[in-house]
Amino acid sequence: MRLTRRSFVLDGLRITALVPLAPRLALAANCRSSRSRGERVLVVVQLTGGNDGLNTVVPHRQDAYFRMRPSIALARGALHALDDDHGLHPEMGALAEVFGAGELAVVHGVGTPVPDRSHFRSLEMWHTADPFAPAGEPAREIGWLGRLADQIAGADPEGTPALSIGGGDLPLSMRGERFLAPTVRDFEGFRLHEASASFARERDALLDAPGAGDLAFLRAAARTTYAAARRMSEISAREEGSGYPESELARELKLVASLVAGDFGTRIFHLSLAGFDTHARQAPVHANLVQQLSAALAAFQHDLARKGIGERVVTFVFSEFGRRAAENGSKGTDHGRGAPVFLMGAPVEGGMHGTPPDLEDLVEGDVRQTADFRGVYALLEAGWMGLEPSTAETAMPLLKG
Amino acid sequence: MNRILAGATCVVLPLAAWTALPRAQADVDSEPDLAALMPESTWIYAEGPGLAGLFAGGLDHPLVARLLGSELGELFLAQAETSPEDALERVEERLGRSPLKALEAMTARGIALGVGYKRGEPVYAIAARGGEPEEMSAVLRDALGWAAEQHGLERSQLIEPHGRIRGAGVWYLGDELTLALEGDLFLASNDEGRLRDMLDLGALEEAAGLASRPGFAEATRGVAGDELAWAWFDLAGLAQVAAEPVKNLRAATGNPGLQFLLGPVFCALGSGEAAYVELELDAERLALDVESFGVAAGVAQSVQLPLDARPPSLPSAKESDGARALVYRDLAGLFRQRTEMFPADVLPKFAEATSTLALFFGGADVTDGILPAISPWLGVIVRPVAFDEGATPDIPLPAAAIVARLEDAGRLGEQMFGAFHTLVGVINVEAAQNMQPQLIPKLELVQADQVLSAHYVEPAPGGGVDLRYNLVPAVALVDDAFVLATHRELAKELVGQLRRGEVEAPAGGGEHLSLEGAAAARVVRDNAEALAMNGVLNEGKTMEQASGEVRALASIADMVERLELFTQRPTAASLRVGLRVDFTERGE
Amino acid sequence: MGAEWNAAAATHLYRRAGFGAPLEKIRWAAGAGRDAALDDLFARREHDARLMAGIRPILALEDIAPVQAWWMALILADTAPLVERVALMWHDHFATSDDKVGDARLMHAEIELFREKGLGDFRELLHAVARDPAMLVWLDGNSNRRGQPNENFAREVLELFALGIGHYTERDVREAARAFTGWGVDRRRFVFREQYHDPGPKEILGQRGAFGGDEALDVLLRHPASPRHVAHKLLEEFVGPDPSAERVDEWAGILVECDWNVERTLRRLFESEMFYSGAARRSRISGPVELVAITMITLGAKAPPGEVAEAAGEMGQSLFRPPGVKGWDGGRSWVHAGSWLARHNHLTALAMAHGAEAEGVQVDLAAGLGNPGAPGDVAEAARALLLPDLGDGELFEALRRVASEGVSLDETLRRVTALALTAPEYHLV
Repeated sequence: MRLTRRSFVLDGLRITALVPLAPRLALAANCRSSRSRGERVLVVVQLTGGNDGLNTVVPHRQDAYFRMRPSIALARGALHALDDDHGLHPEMGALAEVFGAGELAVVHGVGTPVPDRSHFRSLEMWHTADPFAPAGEPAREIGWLGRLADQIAGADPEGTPALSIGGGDLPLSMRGERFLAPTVRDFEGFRLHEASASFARERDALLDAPGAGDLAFLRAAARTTYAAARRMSEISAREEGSGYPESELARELKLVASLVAGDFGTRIFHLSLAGFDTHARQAPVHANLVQQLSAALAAFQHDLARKGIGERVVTFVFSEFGRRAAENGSKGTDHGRGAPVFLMGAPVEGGMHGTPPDLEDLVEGDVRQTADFRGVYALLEAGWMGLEPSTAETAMPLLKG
Repeated sequence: MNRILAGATCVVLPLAAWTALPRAQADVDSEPDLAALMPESTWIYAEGPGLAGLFAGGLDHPLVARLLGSELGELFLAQAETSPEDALERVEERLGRSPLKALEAMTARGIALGVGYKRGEPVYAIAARGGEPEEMSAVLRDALGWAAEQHGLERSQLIEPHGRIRGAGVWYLGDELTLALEGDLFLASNDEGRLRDMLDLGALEEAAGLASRPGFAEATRGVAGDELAWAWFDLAGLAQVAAEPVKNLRAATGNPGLQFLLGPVFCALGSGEAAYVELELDAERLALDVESFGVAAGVAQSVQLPLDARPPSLPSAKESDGARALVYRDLAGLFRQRTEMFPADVLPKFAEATSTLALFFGGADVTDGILPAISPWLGVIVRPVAFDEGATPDIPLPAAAIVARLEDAGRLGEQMFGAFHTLVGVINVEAAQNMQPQLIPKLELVQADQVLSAHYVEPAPGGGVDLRYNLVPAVALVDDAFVLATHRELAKELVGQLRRGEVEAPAGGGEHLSLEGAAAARVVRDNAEALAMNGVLNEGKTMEQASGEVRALASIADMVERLELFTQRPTAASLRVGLRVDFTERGE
Repeated sequence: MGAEWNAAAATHLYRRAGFGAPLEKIRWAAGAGRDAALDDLFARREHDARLMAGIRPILALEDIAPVQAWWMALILADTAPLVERVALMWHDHFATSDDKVGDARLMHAEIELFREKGLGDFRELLHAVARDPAMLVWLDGNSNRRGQPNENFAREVLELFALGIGHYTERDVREAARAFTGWGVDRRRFVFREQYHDPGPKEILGQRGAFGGDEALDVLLRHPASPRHVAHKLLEEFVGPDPSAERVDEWAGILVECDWNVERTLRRLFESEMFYSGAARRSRISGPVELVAITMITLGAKAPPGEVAEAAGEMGQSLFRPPGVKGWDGGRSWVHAGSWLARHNHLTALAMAHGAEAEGVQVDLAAGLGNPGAPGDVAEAARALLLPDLGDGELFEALRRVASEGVSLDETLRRVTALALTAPEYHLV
């Protein structure tokens, strides 16, 4: 009987006399760090719980689909066609349009080489990109995105290379050896509260003073923080994206679009959408979730185009495993293996990739894994972000050109 | 905390004063109702027949003295800046007369408040009938004189009337307040036009104004004249002028959470055409009644209390019962009607709920198969139980049980037992993953009736007993009565009572809730340490402050013998809710 | 500086040996002398009995958050500063996290161990910690049996608790693991299951014998690296990071001289020139718990302990939840973009709470700073209390400028305090 933690309330102290910073301060610190303007951005969206790939990208030509899923199979006519054999869930019309514009890649049957039906263990593999590390090893405590962040931070120590968007703990994938990504739910979470408007000026002078050792280190950290907070507040003061649906995921993606367009400097964003562990009565819950996902992603993609930054952002959507081919007795599905992942973005080679699932050739009732997730990672790490990849896997060719 | 104390005093002071005064005889024929003085465009109207008695009383009443001498009173006095006596004395010095006596003089034969709206802004009007015209005039002069001094004006500028309307002296005090006095009638309003209207109405031969509005007489037919106060609300009118709060009230029927928690009667109260509220208060009890008229027909009616309801009987009350309730929740109806009753954005929650429930019933369709077979009348009993030796939680709580009648009890009862097994299994799987103790199932017989329960493995001796040991979930079926309890002992007791026919048929035909003050006080005292620590750790209080507040809370519970809440449906279009609080005898 | 005993030296002592002290105490200590101050710190060992007893219902809630709040309440009460300081140190040294242990009672029992035995004989403490149920669960010592020894526990005992890296071999780890077989936990109590114990002869650190767990620990403690490991911890915690090898050797010797008694060793440490030297002053970046506790106690501020504990968590130090077996790395790892923002915002909010009405929060900067008469006096008062080592440089000039902005005394107090608390200089303790 675990009780939830109280949510933090010291906010109640921030009452009187809080003066917002004047946004227009020309900061030496801003120019000092090599801001990664115009650089490529990776947005990772995790679908937590194990998304049912077969009801997302539906292989409707296979009779086995309808045979194995008498209650939860989706009607062929309602699907959004991706190719002759596959269609998207009826509620994913918005994302189908992105596919139609050639900006969505669907990769079939992606999974881990050491499948595990445990949420915890499977997520750990996807997060660390190391399915084979034994328990207790440090390799199990560092994430692939964290490693990328470490590399970026090495070149630009005063920037914020990665941000985790949303409440909750920092996901393992974002833990680096040196860099610890901040978690931000919205602009408010990065707001700086100052006692007086004159402080900004005072600090600029004080923090620029020469120093040594720990004092210099603290000053540098403070400078980075204040610079980041001011950038956030400048960006938030501008008009935000429009055309987003009302959902938490959409709000978070809207924040990401604003930050990228505002040249905040972060290159890696992590978001998640939970609730995909549909063991019973899957239909309404899954429909609700994929609708949210599809609408939010499509709005994000349109917003990026409108802001003129569509060429800079690739979005990667994955889940820790798929679900079994046959439905269970509760009109739901149980944990499976391979599932499709999405790559979305103007630079992405749209279309269907990889080996489609064959429901006559299952392995222990699961869709066979035909692609190693680390191949996708290698593409994103080296091919897209231009950094050192975490594994030696061959990158899958999913980008244009 | 301060607000509770202030509120408590505002309740107790009038009741104390009220008991000291002989009840006034209602003079039926001598003068028109105060309601006849209110313009028709009045949306809220209240009268305080008992307030004069309140003013006539004072701090000397024994109950007030008892209150001020109790834990609660001591805490209040310690935190107040001045004592009540000193405060009253200071006002008397400035005013030139006792404030309470002054108020009594002005309201001796009734006081009324009417609220209307002009251009979206509220318009208040007060009408009061006093005892002696000369005394009223003198009181008014003193009050105005004092007001003049407060604002640095000459007394003469305020004391004399600024004008006359139909024989009444009228005072214009800025834009905000207009007063009038004619004989024994005193009027006040924040709108001059309103005041004129009231004087015009007062001059009429026949009673008019609010008194002649259709529906008003019917709604206020229950007025006896011995209430402390009563009020009438034109809900339909208010909805048009005072949008927000009334809108929320009227939208309550469309809130699934409120429907589940408060039930259909409470939710629909605000959706009527008009409402009447009545408060009686004396040394022994408090009675509050709310009646709503012209409740809208519609989907909400389909889940409403039946007209000639005959609720089933419940196991009889035991002295140790902390609370008993009989509620009407047509869950099957709520689910069936959800698309019509509730807004679209909460519908996914229903899908989620049915999906989760289906899990426990092996995938069965809960809305079609299970819910309709459960009687909408649910009994709730809260009763402390004796815990096993060595398994008495450090934070002991009373046990609770739900008793529901089932149709096709044989089949459905089996499914409920099956669901219980699944529930225990699910709890155990999660517990195993978090290395927490497991629930061990147990099947027992009480005479010939089965009781299926589960308990946690006994904790290691000397190590402290966690909160979870309050939970020994149990289910049982006695003929068509299904019992679901948080503790096995309560389930067994109820099974025994049901089998022996020790049941009570509740009176009133509606929902009913009763709470025993002594039981609540006991829970507070048993957990005083925990409550005090919460105050220290989460609210930054010192140990003394926190402990003092817990004692005050227990003493409030001590003052209540019993609290009862009931609902009724007098007609198809009216609903009634009543609250009764019996206070403990003095000196207890 | 150096050997001179004054308010700055007293502040240094109270912030290291305890969690700071309010103005009157510092003034008294400066006047009464170093030994009187030490006597004061070493004599205060007991908390309010009701506060201690209040843990009982809290533990029944099966949640770690109220226990975090309770420990913070003990720290903020400032009634046993040295006990809590040392308990916090051992909590970091013998790091155990509720995230894995998942049992508030066990975590509380472990902390009680540190509070009871933390100032006593380290050897006793090590023996007790090795058997502590929370520790065994944390290090998988509960599943260590003959034929399948679990090396996790043995490795951490050797590497982190007793010897430190480089003084043992993998073979020592395996042999020590064999010695600990049979140790386990049953229903929150330590148990020894003889049937799982490997009774054969082992060779640990060159010594041979049919060691059980306790004997193995004694072998470790007899190794010369042991007192050095403990001395290193004490020096890092109380003097400064990266103590030299000579210094570590010197204090290892003193520890042994004091018969491994932590209290006596610390007393000598707080009497040494080294402790008051310039190199030792403000030589560490303050951790979140000590930062918030020192600030609140120094200013005489009050806030709900639960909120203070959460604030420290947001800054990166959540009590009972260190990030791993190595505890909190400390030093520069305390500070990065997210955590500096948390420090800044919380400390600013605390300063701004002066003169404001908020539930449970009481901050009286005027009283805390010794009632400066006019805005012009505030900068000096703030420096004297919060930054006693600060010279007349840029930061002090900035404080003076802020103090002469021509606003009310209350507003001046808020602003100057906020600037002082959020200056990097304040975060070196």
